[in-house]
Amino acid sequence: MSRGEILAIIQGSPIAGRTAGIVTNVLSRAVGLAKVLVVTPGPWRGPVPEGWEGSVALVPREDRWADQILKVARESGCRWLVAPSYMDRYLPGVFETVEATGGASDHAVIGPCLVKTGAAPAKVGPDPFTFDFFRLMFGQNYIAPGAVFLSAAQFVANGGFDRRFPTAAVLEYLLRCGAGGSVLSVSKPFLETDALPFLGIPPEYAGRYAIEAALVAQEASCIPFTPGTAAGVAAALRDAIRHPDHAFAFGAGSGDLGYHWRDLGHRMIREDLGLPSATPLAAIKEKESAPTRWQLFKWAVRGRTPRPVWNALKRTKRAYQGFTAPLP
Amino acid sequence: MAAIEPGVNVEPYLSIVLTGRNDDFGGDFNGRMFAAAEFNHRNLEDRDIAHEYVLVEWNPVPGKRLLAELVGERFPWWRRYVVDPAWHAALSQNPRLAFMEFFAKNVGVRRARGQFVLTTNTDVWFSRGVLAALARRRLEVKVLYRCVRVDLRREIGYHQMSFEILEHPESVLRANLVTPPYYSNAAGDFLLMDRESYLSVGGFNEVFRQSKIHKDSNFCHHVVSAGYRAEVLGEVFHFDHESSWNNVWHTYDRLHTDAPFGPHWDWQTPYENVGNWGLAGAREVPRADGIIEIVRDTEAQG
Repeated sequence: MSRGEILAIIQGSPIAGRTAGIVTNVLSRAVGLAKVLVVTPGPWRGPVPEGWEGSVALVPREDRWADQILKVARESGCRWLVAPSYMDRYLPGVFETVEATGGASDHAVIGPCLVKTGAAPAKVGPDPFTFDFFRLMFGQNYIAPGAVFLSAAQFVANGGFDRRFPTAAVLEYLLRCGAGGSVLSVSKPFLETDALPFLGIPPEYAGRYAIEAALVAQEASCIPFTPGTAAGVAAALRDAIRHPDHAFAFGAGSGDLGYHWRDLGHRMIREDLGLPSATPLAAIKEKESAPTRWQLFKWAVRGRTPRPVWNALKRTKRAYQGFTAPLP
Repeated sequence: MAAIEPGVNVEPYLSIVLTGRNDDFGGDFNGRMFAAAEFNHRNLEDRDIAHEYVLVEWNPVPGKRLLAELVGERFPWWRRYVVDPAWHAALSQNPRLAFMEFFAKNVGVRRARGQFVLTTNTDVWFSRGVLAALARRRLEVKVLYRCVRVDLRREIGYHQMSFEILEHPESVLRANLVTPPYYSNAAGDFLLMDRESYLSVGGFNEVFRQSKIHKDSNFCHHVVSAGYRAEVLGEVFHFDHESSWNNVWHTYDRLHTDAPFGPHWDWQTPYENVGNWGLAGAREVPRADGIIEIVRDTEAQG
């Protein structure tokens, strides 16, 4: 059995071949180094592909997926977690590089990727991460989720993914925890993927990703629509118009473009309060816990401080955290 | 059990009217129908929604077993009608047309017993939202309920289906949006209304007999023009398949005069069916296996 230092968490696709493609790639590139977990939409249908027995665990995705991933991270015994999409293909030696770079530390390891373009693949990625972190804050996301190997120990300590952002989970995690300085970046490309229009994000998720990324960047930078996310939303919309079959990613299928926004809003409220879905508003209010004295004080100060001053203070705090972090 | 047996004289909440013939339309027609029916029936039962299925087989394919017989082996509790080919011969004004879908639906509507009648197609999967709306039992009379039809990729396969697969973003091929005022896009897959209203408006157009396309849109126009309100209930799912109108319309000439589903026509044309629409006065002959044959006597008026 492998040492299994790295856990690859793969969101299973309902389309035959997509899941198998990335699983086969990980198994062939990370012989003895990785465990593979496929989180399937509903129970696995059909026979388990050859070669998966003993190497790949299949579990149905749970409603509270963030808790599910956190539990897996806690119990897996792995040191790193990575969540590639079906579009990603790892290059030879990547998993060895992650182990060598990470060493004994509890740091995340991230790297660039090769984006398939018309002629030759283009290299895109962080180099170094500390400065690029600010680009992330402004929504200019150039890191493929499959090229982010999160430290499992840190992941557990930080409470895992934010369950409000299932599609932009890795971006949100990097923005929330990357400023702590626990990210090592590598210049050697990790994988080959597509940008449709977002790096490593399948086109079916582009609309959701654009919206979630906009909200994540807004939380991080306190700017309502950062330049990067505005460009991202515009690019996703452009693709949706060019390829109407992807328009559903914006919730257009449900009758109006605002559907997904409303759904996301409801989800954020529900998840914030740790409630199951479809909970009446009365129950939400009932479950709201009383604010702490520190929160009351903070709200009082914020209420008396002009908005630009408050936002500037928040940005200064984040910049301080970014600059004081150890450079890779 | 939430499904109503054919012999039981109880008014179910919902009648689901389906039509078809054993012609393998779109590839594995029967397989798709059985998979969808099992899924929908299971979910309707889970939510305790009293329902009946009414299947109308129109113009059966000569030399092949009746679809109604095959259905009877799987779902003996379905009410099954087989319409004599002589009716098709008498009513059709287009020799290319083998299946008059909306005439068949009218046959089902006239014989449905439910408070609400849903005319739909055999390969439509209900979403959680639609099932929840039905389970609440708050549907209003004189309202035409429509759904957005979400077409799913055929490579997913429709066996062992779950909501997680149906709702998965990667499953979606296209969404057929519905918009005011007539909410008519892809209407044939979901037209739900109370039975009395269906009867009041007189069912689908039986005046125009050369084409089967646009009859659903024509019905939406007819109902909304008559002062009924239209409302979107949620989504239904449909697997993309061969011969689907979305896939083949461009292979025919501009007016579709060479198409097996008939030519284009103005779907906003008003109509008024005769009083015995839906073969209301036709003679019904019950068979031992539960199928009811709707026969055309030679003297009968078509």
